Amino acid sequence: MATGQLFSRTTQALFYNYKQLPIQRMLDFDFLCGRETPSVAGIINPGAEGFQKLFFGQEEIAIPVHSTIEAACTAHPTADVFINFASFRSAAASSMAALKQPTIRVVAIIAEGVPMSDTKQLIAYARSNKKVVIGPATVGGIQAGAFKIGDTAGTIDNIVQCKLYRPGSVGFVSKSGGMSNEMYNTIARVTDGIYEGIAIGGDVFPGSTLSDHILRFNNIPQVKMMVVLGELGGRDEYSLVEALKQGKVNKPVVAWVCGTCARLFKSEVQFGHAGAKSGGEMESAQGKNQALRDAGAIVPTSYEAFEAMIKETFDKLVEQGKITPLKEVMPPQIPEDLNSAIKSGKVRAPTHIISTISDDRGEEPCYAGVPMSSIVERGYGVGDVISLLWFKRSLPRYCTHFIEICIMLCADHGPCVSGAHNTIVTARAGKDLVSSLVSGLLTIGPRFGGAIDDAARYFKDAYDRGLTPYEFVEGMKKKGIRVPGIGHRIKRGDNRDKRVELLQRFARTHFPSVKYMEYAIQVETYTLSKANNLVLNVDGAIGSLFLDLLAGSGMFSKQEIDEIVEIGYLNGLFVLARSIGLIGHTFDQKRLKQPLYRHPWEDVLYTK
Amino acid sequence: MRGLMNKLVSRSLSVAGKWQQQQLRRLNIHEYQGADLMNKYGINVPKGVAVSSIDEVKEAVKSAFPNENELVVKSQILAGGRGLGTFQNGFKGGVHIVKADQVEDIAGKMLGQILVTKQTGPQGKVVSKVYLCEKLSLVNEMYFAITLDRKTAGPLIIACSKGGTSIEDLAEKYPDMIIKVPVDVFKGITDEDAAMVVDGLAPKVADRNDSIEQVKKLYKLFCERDCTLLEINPLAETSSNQLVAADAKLNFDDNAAFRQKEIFALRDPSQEDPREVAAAKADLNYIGLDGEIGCMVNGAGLAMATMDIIKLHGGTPANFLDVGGNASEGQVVEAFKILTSDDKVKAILVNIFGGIMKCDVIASGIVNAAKQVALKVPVVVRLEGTNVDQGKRILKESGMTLITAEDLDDAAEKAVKAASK
Repeated sequence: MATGQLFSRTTQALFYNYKQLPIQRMLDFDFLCGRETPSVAGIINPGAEGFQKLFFGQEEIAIPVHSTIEAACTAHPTADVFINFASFRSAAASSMAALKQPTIRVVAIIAEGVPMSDTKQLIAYARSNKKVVIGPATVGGIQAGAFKIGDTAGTIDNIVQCKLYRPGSVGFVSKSGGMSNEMYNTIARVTDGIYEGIAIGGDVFPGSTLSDHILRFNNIPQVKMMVVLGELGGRDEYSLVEALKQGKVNKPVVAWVCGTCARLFKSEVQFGHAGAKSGGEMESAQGKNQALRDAGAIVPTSYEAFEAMIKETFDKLVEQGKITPLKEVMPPQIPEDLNSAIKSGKVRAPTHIISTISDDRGEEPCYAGVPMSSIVERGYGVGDVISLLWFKRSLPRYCTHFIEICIMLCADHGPCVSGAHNTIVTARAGKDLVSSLVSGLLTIGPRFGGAIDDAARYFKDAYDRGLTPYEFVEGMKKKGIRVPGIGHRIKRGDNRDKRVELLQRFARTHFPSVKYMEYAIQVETYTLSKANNLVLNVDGAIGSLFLDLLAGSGMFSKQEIDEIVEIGYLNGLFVLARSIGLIGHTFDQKRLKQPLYRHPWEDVLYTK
Repeated sequence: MRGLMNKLVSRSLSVAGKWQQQQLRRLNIHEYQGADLMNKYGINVPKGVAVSSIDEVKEAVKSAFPNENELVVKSQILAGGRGLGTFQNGFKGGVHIVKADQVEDIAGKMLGQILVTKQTGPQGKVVSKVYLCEKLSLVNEMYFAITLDRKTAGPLIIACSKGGTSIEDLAEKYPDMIIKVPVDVFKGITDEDAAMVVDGLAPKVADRNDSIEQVKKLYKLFCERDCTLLEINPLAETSSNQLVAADAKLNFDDNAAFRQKEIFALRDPSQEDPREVAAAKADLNYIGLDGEIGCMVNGAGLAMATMDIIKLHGGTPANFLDVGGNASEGQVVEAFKILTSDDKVKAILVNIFGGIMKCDVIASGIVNAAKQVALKVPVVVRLEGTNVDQGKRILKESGMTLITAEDLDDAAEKAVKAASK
């Protein structure tokens, strides 16, 4: 056990088992005290490496994360305090590993519930190697204005209220962490404040004891008086009684042992274990209070009178000139976290992303305001989901049905078309699903599958301007543009594309108006008169019919229709539909275990 | 058997907030379970059978003790003072030595009945099993214990060549006969250690080497099962020159529950306070007492200080309840349910110092609890610390009739006054 000061304004710790809040509280305390270096040098998170971003005042700092205790100690040889936030299952093993590091001097164990036989080994090792164990089952400790372990003293507000950002003259030690918070307040009220405070933890066998710390405080010149808060059970207070009797403590000690109530229960209440071999009377709060009083400690008659006793003792020291009142300093303001500031309405911050189609924050995700459960309950199909997410409205069933038909019709067109071919080649090269799918999708463009939008655009423009099919087609020809949506490699005027027929039949039955479709047919009639293969293809059919859907449903304004055509919504239909086929081709090739594809030489014209 | 150690009110209470979930209550196991455990470790124990019905009694007497004239019939409850206890049906004494043909009659008066002893409280505890044991003829009684020692930071074996009464009495009467042998926590027990213990016990008839082996087996049990106390009193010698653990007390480290599943499976909830069982489910640190002021406090230390002050003002706490340093609103609601379900509670005192814990969380918990349970008794609230103003505002705006207190002292005084109305 160390005999003097454990911490200073330059003490740095290694923090085992990353917990954001306690570390941030330590760093905030550092800032409050005007420390130049953060009190956490490194973090040990078994199995993880890298950095953790935390605030040090206004600045963000990156604290290194190490995967082993050894690595952390090597990287930070001056960090001599080990703060162990491991669970009670593993706290003993990691604490022992830390104690064995030559650079570690103090180990604080936060976990509550470390088996006693394990703690015993830690204590035995620490004793024979002159190291200090604080805990287990403790919140830790604090040296005012210098260094703080984990969550000690609670929130920043509490620390400011207890003036723990600057040293006072009182050394405090207790078992309980909760009570130390209460006592820091009390002591700040009636004295010049805490110099150092330690909670030794509530276990039957703490790593360091009340008297260990009192004897240490006695050697620290800045500590002028000590306050001890004990508890019934155990014999720890008696080693303090011994020390007092032997004259080892020459500063005033104000002490109180809690638990005087335990006597009053008629039945024999078992609060817990009895480790020591002694009479019950000796371990009672009354017995201990009396023994401390007899040994020369200042002991009140009840907990209520504790505060007055502390004040009296402090005032006496001031009168004797042993304590000179200190000049108060104002600690700096800790910048408030953005989240809490926004919550309390103190600041506003601009957002960086806007989204209007869906919301995942509530009980269940919503698509354009429609919750998932209604989508399922109302028996919506994928067409309805598309109408919600793409068009932000619920379209009539015939519209969403039409969308579904388009998707079904465009889902695949055999293995030979460019997209499917690329997907097959990629899949056979051993690439994953996403790569295979994307290599097929990348083929989609002006020559493959990408004509729906263009068809819609030109048909709409021509129809809206009242051009006759003749004017439209010839005008395009003059500009050197092929009419999109017209022409097929195989289909002819006397052998129409079945898909086009299906779409047109559906529209004639369900759509209130098919004016764009009729116009497209007129254009087709004219182009067929020029060449037999210039039929209306599936792109042209979908493009023109979608114009009828948008205009005829009465659910879109003119501007909206223009915007939909302009942005290129309709190609989205083809991309979505064809993804189904491309995924199918990928799986097919994988299932067939096809080897790498290589194009045959004989299929290439090698020439200069 | 239940030595004075039981009465030592010591501390294994939760402190510094509950940072991790853990087994909070202390494990007690029945006498027959302890004997069974020792038997497994090769420690000599009196032959015994635990039975739970008259049919089993008949069968056990016939098959296990065919040649015994007398048997000991022991009620199995998790409390001391059985011998001097009284059953609620009027039958006196929880432990009887009887002729073999009377065992059935006596066991019948115990099984399923409620035994009240000075440790059970007036409500008593149900006897679901009785333990039938052979009656030993003892020629010598000694004392043996293993405990965890503060000074040597390891296990300590305590032995005395006299036994049968409490260690405190022994220490007073025969201070020179008590020997203490510390065991190195890293090395474990050596033959020399065990021999020193046996020399201290000074058995009269038992073989020395056998005795050394028995000591080593006891130590093995102590370590492997995470005991905090293993007390054999008396450790006896029988007329057949055997060393026998005639009566034993085993305490286990609750902290080791996670690695002693087999031991902790022996927990008998029928012997526990139902309030404590409910509290354990909500992960609250609760000990039921028999006063009239229900307490809800955060932090074990503050809980004790609160109870002290209640007593100072002439009241009696109905419980020890630590909601921990980091309780959730849900836990606060559960805590309130437990407090209000206790008929003896005449007033509730809430004493919170918000260090890490926020007063507004506690306040919302109280308000929510009041919606779920009918609050029939006055509630005194003292809040201090983080977010205290928010907390007070929540309570005020809830429209609940609460008595607010300025400090601990004021709170205790008001609670005692409210409870006495």
